[in-house]
Amino acid sequence: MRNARSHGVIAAGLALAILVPLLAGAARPGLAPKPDPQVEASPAKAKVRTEPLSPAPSSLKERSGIVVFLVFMWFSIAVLLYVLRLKKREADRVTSLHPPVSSPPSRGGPSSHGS
Amino acid sequence: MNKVAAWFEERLGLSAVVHFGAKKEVPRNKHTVWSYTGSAILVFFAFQVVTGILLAFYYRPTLEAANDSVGRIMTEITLGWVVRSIHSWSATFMIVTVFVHLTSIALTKAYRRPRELTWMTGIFLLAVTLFFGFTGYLLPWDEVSLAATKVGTDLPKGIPVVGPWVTRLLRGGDDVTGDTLSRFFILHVSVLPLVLLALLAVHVYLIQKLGMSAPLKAELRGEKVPSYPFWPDFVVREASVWLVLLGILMTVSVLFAPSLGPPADLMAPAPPGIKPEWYFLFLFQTLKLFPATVLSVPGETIALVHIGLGALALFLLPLIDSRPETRRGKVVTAVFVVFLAYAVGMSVWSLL
Amino acid sequence: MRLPDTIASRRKFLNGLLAGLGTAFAGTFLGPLVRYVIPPYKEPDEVRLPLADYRDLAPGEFKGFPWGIKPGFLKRRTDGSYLALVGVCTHLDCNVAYRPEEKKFFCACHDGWYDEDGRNIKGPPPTPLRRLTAEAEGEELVVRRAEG
Repeated sequence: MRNARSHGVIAAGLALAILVPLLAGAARPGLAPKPDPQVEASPAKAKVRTEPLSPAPSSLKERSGIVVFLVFMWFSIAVLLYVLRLKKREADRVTSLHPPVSSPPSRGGPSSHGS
Repeated sequence: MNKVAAWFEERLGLSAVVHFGAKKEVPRNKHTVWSYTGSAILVFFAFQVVTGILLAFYYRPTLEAANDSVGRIMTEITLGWVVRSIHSWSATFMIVTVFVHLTSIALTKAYRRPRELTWMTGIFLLAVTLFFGFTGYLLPWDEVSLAATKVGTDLPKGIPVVGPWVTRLLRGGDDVTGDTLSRFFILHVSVLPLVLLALLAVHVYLIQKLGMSAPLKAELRGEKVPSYPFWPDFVVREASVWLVLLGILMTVSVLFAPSLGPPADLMAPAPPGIKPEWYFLFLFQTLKLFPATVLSVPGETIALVHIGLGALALFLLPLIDSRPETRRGKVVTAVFVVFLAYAVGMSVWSLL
Repeated sequence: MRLPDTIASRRKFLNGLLAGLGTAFAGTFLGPLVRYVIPPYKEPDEVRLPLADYRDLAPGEFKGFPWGIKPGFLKRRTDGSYLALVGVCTHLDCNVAYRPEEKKFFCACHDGWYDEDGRNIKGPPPTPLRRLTAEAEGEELVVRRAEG
């Protein structure tokens, strides 16, 4: 019984974890910086471009959007790194209980057939 | 194992992979840090595949539309400029990591017996990676890419006997035209990925079969080598590295997005100060060193022969350095370091 | 190791946490990805045509015009006003053709018919052809989306 409940909790958590960022990502204002001049989607666009195009965020909203994204991303990475560190500690703990049998290296690693 | 996992296990037998991973060992010493470079290359390559596919949704590989389609990606498509930027930066990061990976293997002599084929497939992988960069560079079809491709495809002409034919094959004719763009595109998105995956399969298989190499000294002394189990210990550490690399890639891509020059004009003179991509700079500079003719042989040909011999030596390095513990081994290391310094020095010089 | 009265062992908790957070992290990139793969095509808000091309249409005669990338049909009524229709079948988006002999619009995909004012009269189309407003403004004929 307890097993089923814990599975349910984890499944619900995962579903939320996937849906919320998806919806948030879709709802966030578009990070689509446009260089000057704005390109129109009219059918009679035949002018040949002579200047280089440099993408740069053109409004404060876009610039702050980029900053927010970077901060959010690094924060998420930090959280994930912390969890990975816990995993690492646990893996090392398990390894110390059963250390790998490290024999002297032969010239072919574990599956060599002798020199 | 729960019911679902058991259902798959009965049919796929994938737990064998996990068991293999748990038994596989990664040596634990001061050189372990270089073991992260292999999977890092794969991470960057994965980014290239994903962003490449996304770019190909909107990119048009014809002379008339190529530049405009890249411009459209950068200005009209939501976050297109980010996708293009990631593709451009991940290419650079991947090539840097390939060079670091190669250097670490060379300096630790991990290519020694029985891992010679791993090294050789690795050199092929290096060539394919550089060719990826070369073909991709033309695709935006702006002034700089056209000029770089003209120069790059002109070079093989200097190869004796087959040279002019190679140039014509690369260009689809005697000049760089829309045909060049089409074939570079199909090479970049179809042929090279298939070749790379095939080579990678052999390379990775050999690594699993032969195991991770131990430091030379330990092997000679028959010492026990402390190690991590690959799964989960080393993979967990690798995952942390991947996260940081992803963060750096995204940050750089978002803050330093590349620009796009105006469409290339086949009639216009070459723009001043053209340079190939950074990873070809040292070759570019080497060519400049040679005089126009040496004893009635074109300087280009001499340079290309030198470069060819150097590449061959690099490819055959494990066979040349067949006894790394001897004096010859030390000489090989010294020569490699000199080559490295040469490549870096020439690259820097070409930028001055 | 699992203590009594807990929902999961430490290992399971860590694995679940990692999987969940990792998926969430990947998910934040998925939203923008979806927006990337659907390009922003918008119909034009208005299309300006030279009035001279349409001023001399016989009443009841249709002439085509580009409505963005869709075909449009313009008719000049007897009272001098204009009727503009989007020539896309309301059934499944095929382009329709005008048959002047029969004064009807025909959709070849599934045999749909509309009358000369765009009303659906036969076949699968569920609604009439979409109407646009068309007004002369100086030397131009301006076609706009109808309100509502």
